[in-house]
Amino acid sequence: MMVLLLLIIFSGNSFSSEAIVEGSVKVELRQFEDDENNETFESQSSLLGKINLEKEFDVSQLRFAISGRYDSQDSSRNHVWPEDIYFKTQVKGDYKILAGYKIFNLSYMEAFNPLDILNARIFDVSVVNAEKMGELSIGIETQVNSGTLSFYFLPHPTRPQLPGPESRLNLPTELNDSVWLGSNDNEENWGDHFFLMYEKSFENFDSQFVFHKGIDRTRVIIGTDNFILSGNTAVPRTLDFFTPYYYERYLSGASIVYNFDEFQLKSSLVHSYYLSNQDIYTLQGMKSPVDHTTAVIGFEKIRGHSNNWESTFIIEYQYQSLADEEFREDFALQNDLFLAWKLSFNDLNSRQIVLSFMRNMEGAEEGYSQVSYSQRLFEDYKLEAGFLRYEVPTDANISSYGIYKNAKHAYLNWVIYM
Amino acid sequence: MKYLIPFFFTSFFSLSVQANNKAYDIAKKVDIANTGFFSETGTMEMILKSSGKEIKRVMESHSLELNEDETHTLLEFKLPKDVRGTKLLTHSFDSKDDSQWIYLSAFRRVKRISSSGKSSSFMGSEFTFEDLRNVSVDKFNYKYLGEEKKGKDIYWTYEKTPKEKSGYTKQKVTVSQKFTSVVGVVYYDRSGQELKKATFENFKQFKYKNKSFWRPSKIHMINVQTLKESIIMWKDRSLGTALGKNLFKRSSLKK
Repeated sequence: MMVLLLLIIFSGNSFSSEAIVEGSVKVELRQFEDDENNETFESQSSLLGKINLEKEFDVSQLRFAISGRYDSQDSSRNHVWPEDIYFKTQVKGDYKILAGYKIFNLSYMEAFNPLDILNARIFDVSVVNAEKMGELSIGIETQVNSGTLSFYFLPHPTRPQLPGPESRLNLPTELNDSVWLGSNDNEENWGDHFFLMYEKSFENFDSQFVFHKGIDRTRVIIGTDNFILSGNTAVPRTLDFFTPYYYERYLSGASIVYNFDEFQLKSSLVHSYYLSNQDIYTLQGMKSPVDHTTAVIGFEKIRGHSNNWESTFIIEYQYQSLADEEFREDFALQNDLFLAWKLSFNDLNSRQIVLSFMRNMEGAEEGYSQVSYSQRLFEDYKLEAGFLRYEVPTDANISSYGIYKNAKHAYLNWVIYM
Repeated sequence: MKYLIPFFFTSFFSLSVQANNKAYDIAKKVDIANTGFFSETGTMEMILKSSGKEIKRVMESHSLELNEDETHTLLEFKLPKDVRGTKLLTHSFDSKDDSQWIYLSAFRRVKRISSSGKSSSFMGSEFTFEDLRNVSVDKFNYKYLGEEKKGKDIYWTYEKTPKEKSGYTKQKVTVSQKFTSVVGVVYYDRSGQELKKATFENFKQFKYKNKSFWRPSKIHMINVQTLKESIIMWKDRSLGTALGKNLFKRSSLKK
């Protein structure tokens, strides 16, 4: 019925513009290091399909974009998810309203984007660029003082897609269904989640201010709430310590980019205030979220070469205000430094090489290095290849960086555009 | 004699200033003739030729004149397919540096482009971002080189050197009196060597509010050092179309 409705809408002649119908198929091959575990795979192949249908009317737009993946080894990656399924229209004056699933991108940085939190992610082997899923949203946008003010209700938070036991991520067993903890334990009553955003560009600045009430899907505590306290000691009443817990929070923050001469300076400042502090018994002891502030500063410079090649140098540093290292260990990204060099060949096939490196600056041998290469082939195809190597301390927490132990791999992607 | 040398230099200087003023006046005349169109839309096809290969890029272009100082331009890429939906937004100013943003559709991200990127290649072509933007007349120094009559048309040639940072040390510009428009540019690289030649062809006349505008339907750029070529052609061009200011806002780039 849904497909029929879409066909009628996107093939109709009575509208003001032709429908856009486009898609892509990506063949993904990954070769992991041998983890000396006969129950896990080393070679992985999967297919990722995307379809996008768009129709524009006079002052309205209908968009239908979904993605789906089939993985022959890891069934937890077999999933179809909405990206954008929404109707957007301009109403009186400068007001625009939108209803449906939508992917938001609030990122200003390459690696650290503590404000880009509005969508649930598909957790896989990439620590910084996990795929997003559409979020059910009903919102309004308008122009205020030459900037854009947006307010969105988020009535039904999408759950993150977590890795399964077949994944090459370092999970000893299958995770239980995730539990969300907040001011109101009854999830059905979480219709008061929202975000308010104001974006403005002036002179050489781009700025963005966000206030959000919702689930913190960037951070998870894996453990159990089934325990008793005996004096100061927690005693679990189960041997199942593999339930992911997510917490409701208020988030407020701002990002700014300043462009001067040949440089760009970027910064973000974000504060998280949690609405539940419920303790969870984990394999690393008792855990609960702690209110904290995250600050990020970044610097970018582009340098042209005489042969038309172009280099982009990127430095970003993230600092978390959490004084106790034990709390910081619950985050995959902590007080980290990110360095990247992107070389664009500026040729017919848009060939590009990126070298990137991230390192925890507090002494723990934690971080990653990546080499990636991409180019267009025969107009309708694209080739992506690379190598990703994680450095993970032996005692790292599986709720954070410990999950990437043994995730070192090379990859080759072949994208076909239609 | 003691008066003759200063007189000679004064006269020479005066003639030189007059000549250079003529070059400036021509540039200004071209600028005035090409402004006042309110808005412009069209489809741009770009053919890239290199080592026997030929690749096509397609973009939709929208421009809006806000005032004498400020023009906004939006380019949306249609081909190649891997960058389909990518948009380039430029706010050009006569009195200050331009602001430029790119919307990367694959990442759904808006990114500001640093001003150093203006001498970068545009989509792997022989055009740079600098070549495609409307640069204020007052951002250059001028030197008049002469005129030539071809058929019924007169062609003026002058040299312009940038006052600000640029990918070129100078440009030799040829202007058609008939079209009151640039018909050729020779670009010189940072070492002063001839780098590229652009020719503007197939002029078409458009009218908006009783004013005529001549626009080239084709720009052919050849890199004389590498012999690579890029050709931009316009289709379905129209002037004076109603375009909303909000189309050219940074926040409107996102879908």
